[in-house]
Amino acid sequence: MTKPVTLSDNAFAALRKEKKEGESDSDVVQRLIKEARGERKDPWHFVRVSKHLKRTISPDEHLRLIRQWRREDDRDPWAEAEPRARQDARRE
Amino acid sequence: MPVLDASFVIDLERGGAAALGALKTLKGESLELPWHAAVEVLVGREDPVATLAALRSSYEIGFPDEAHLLEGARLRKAALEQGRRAHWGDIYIATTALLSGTYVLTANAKDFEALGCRVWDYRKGGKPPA
Repeated sequence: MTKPVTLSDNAFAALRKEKKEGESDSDVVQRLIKEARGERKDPWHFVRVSKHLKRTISPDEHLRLIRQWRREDDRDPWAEAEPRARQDARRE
Repeated sequence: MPVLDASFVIDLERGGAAALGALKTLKGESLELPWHAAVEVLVGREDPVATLAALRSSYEIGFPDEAHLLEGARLRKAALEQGRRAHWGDIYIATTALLSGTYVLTANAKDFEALGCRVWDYRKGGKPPA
């Protein structure tokens, strides 16, 4: 979903000046806001520290459970209602 | 900003070569971990508070706004109309990618492609989608 905004000529020129290759205008705005907030992330930080954070289950079991949790949607009442809803829609 | 599935983060922490290689390829990019994927990662940890702090230092944690609610409903409704099952967990993550116009890093490409997302199945190597 996108929303139109209005910029002054100066603001528009500044936005274009900050733009890096492959970035959309929205990307530039989000990057600048993050930089302004001083929230620079280090994607390798989690890799480095995660070995010191104890697990309750093994990574393999964890991945298996995540797949299972997502499939469990199929047994929720809403999912069960879907075939009935389609049948009702066809009858209408 | 690429969107991370929980499978990618877990592969990273166990030192999976494909995941580490993908992270190197993405050098300098901000990475977004949607709230639902973050919850899935935290479940496997003895200290979820410390783990969340580590995740926040590494990735942008994505939280839903009204646009996510509407997009999530649209995805589920579209699946229903096509007679497909769409899993809520996949929908929550897919909305983040679709609204940001980016792709999902995942080992479960099929689930996200069915929702109309671009994906990078890092376990198959290659490069991120253009």
